[in-house]
Amino acid sequence: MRYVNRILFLIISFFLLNLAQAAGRGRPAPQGSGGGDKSSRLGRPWSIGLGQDNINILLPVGKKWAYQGRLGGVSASSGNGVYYLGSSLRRYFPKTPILDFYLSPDINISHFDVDQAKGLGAALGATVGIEYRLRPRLGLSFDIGPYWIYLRNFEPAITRQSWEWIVNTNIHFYIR
Amino acid sequence: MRLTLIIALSAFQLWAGLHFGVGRAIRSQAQELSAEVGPSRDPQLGRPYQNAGDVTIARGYSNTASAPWGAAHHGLDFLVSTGTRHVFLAAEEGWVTEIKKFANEITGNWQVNVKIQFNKNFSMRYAFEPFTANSADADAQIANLNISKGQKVLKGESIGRLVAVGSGTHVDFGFKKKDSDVCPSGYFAPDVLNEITTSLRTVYPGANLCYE
Repeated sequence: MRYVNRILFLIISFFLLNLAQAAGRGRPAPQGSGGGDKSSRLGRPWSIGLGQDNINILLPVGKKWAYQGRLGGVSASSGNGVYYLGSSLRRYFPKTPILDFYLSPDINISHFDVDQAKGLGAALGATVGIEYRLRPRLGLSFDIGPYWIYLRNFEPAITRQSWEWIVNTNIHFYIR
Repeated sequence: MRLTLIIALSAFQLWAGLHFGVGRAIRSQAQELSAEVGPSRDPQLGRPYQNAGDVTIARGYSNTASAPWGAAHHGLDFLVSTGTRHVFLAAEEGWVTEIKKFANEITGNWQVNVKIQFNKNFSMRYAFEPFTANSADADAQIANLNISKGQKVLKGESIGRLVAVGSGTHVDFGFKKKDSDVCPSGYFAPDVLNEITTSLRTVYPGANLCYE
């Protein structure tokens, strides 16, 4: 499973790099977009999305800002697994009419029940990513960044913290 | 240029051990934490006391008053002689999650409870009962413990000495599975189980260790 993820990562990387390069070569801007006005498609509609391990909603909160709320979970071989609630704020840096870069601080709180460990946790991070609009109502985003993960077991009350690199990928379905 | 970027990204992700999604990253860390919390196996209980000759099993485990000792009793009573300071041991490894001094509502005597969490499902409780209404004796009992809350103890490690003040002083050894009292007999090593049962039968001939 670990290698499936890594191969998937390579495929997505390759795909996005191709898209980025194609977009950078000057794909014609949609008519009425104002030609060089890169931010003309911002103030985007809201979307629901699917991530690797979550469902999410992306709400515009400004011309170049969007809030993402997530509800996610993964199973465990023993125990109920991990459930988490996440919030992030995306600051977009428009590149082309179909491609945006973004920065995103990210906060997650979690309940975990994995093998002998059961408790609450948090993951705080900041990512850098790109979002590509495949279709007018379909977007693909991909970001990566360092996260500080803190877990506290209920009983015994022992804790664990670490820094981890995390990749997030999402498919966004824009509603209107 | 593109190929260089792909190679650089691939090398980076292989080096960094990336996690794909926040949930997976938390799960990975929770698995690491799990190993610190305790083993996945069931406990294999050793002797809760140091010397078998120092203790007598005065009561076994029962859910019913029809047991030979005439009452429901969720533990094993290890009785000692007055004036002694016998050592009690951790029957299994675990984390000390509670050390609590309080007055027993039924007897009015002070006691000190020590809880050792083996893993998520199993825990042991040592109730040190010096049979005294004097709070200072309970403080002396706490002072005779070798452990502190939050500490990890190993199987067979000394928990402390039982301060035998009054007649009837004992350690009430309780065993819980998923927060419910259970009979520990199935978890004792065979030689320990035989030793404890033999001791109980010196008080109650033919008795079982547990009545459920």
